[in-house]
Amino acid sequence: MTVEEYFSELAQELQPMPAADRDSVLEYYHEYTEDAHITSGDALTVQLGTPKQLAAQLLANQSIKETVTVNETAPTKPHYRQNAHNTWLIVLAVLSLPLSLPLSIAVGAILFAGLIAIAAVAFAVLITLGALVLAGICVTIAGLYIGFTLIFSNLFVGMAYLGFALIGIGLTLLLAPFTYQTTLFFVHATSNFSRYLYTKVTRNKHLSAEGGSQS
Amino acid sequence: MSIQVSSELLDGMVLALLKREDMYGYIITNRIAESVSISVSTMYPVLRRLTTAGLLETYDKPFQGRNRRYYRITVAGRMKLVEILKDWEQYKISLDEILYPKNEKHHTREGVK
Repeated sequence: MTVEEYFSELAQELQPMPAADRDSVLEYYHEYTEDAHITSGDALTVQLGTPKQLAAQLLANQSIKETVTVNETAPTKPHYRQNAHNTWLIVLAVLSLPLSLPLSIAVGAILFAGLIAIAAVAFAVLITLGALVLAGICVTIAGLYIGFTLIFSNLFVGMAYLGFALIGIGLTLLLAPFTYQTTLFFVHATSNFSRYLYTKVTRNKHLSAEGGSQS
Repeated sequence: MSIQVSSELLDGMVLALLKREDMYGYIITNRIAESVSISVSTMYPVLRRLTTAGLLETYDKPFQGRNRRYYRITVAGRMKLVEILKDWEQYKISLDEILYPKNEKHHTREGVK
């Protein structure tokens, strides 16, 4: 097979292709053949495959190329649409501002009130526990003092007061560690919560800064 | 070499070659075939695709009584090349993470320090 025969067969096999594409393919391989100093159709077959194989490959590639170009243009459209979508969302947001602004303030106020309430409850619990511990200490001291002063003149009343003092000691010993643990818990919870708020706010800032630089 | 080159990577290689100088089909094919195993017939579709995508443009230069079609990289082609190089860098790192696990750990430790 000569080079000319190879190419005429290739041209025949490439009939399904549009004429302009076919010409450019044939031109490309003609040029390649000359640059590679290939002088026989058999040598061409070694390098490129038979005309039939090469044509099949080129035709397959063309159909792939077409689907690829379709796929490549497809994602850009949703992108524009997305932008338009975002624009409409912004317009909507601006229009709804008279309604959404008081609403968001109200939601914020409710959240803030909830926070205050939780803080108040925590504070009350701590104060109560502290007061109980303090009361235990006071009862202990008062009971001991009165008990010891009365025990010599009035044995049973004095012993009763010493008993109160013992109750006070017991109460204090029971409640003091509990109060200590609860206080620690609230301190930790507060610091964790504020750290969480801080990271959330800074991350949002970071994100919006990134978004700004991109657009 | 038994590893196949993806078409995206092949695009990148062609763009990188043409970034240095304009070339014609035969030279491009040879240069690519020097480093990766491709058949001669795979180059045309690549060049054709890059040209229709506007990443390459062609011009003819007379040579010994015939025309040689030269390929030249466009501005869009240069931008695409930067993109592909970035992707390749990323791909290389993530592959190396799996292919050289010890080595990679060592690297990240140094990075943390």
